Amino acid sequence: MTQDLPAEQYLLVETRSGDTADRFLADAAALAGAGERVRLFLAADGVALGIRGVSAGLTRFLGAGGQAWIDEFTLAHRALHAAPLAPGLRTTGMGDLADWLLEPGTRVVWH
Amino acid sequence: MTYLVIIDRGYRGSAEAQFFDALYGVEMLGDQLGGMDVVLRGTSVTAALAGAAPPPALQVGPTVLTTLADPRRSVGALVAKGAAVYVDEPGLAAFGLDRAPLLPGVTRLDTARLAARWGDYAGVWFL
Amino acid sequence: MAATVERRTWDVLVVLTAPPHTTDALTTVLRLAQAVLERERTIRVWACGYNTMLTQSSLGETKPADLRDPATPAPTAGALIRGLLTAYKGRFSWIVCTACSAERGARDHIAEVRLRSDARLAATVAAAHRTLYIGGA
Repeated sequence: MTQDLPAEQYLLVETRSGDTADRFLADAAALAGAGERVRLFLAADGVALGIRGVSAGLTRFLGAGGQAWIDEFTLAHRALHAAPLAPGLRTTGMGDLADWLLEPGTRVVWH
Repeated sequence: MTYLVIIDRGYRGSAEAQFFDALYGVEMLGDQLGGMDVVLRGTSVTAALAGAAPPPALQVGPTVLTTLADPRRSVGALVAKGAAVYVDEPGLAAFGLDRAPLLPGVTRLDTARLAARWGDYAGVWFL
Repeated sequence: MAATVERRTWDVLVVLTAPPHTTDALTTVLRLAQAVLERERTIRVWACGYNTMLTQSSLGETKPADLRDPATPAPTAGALIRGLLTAYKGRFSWIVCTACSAERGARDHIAEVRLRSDARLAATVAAAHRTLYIGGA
């Protein structure tokens, strides 16, 4: 196996919204709370979690030391530029996701 | 008799479906069925927004895809042909857009209130 | 059967199981592939489930016309995939799972894709530095 074990950092990608996405954010917060370095990227339907006030799970994740970004293309594609984003959430693109994915020691988990 | 169609999920395959989203289906098939009024909910609520930029192009290798769906163009076309288009106020609020300006001819309301009129339609279809 | 050892290691393997025409999973994967390839790295997609139907030759190069604008052709997903395979030959690969294909009668794929039995999944994972599994089938 050539997978990176143990992980030096996690890259979590959330493309869904709703109850199962809330559970994934709980996973993310647990990892961050345990001291793991965690990057979370919200794309596709997952951008709904990045709207201000929507996700307590995102707030908990950021409070536990996680870092989160939201996909610029999805915001443009879905006409969400006017939507207020959660504090602490940054906008970025697929280029950054690719860079993070390619970093040695990254474990990626996609929901 | 007119049908009431409810679209509560958008973005079902932008790269593969492209222009052929649920609203395109309504544009193409609504007249055949005697007309369709449309309710926008969930991720489809932004189809009602005024002032949005056209959808971004999507590059896939040597191809720059410019044939993605444009939901706001479809809503404009449906309003122009006389369809009633409603957008769900709670759905807009979920995106912090409850006060965002809407396209002309779109009505913002709690679309559950429309259930009182379901009997006026030939059918109610969730697309 | 022992896993076949491949000669090269790919930077990324994406196992794509979420069906097309349902969510933007394929769209996101194509965008990610584009970004990885622009960084001069390598990426391979293992297409599972209904994604095996995207590369059938019968779908051709263009979709049925947009009746509002019939003069503007829209490429099929297969054409998009072939475009990537051609433009990034050697750095992008699209594998079609033969089990999923058989289950769906998805035959006669475009020549540029590779057909592989699901018995070779482990070997394919082993031949990548990073595997990204996209569920939702």
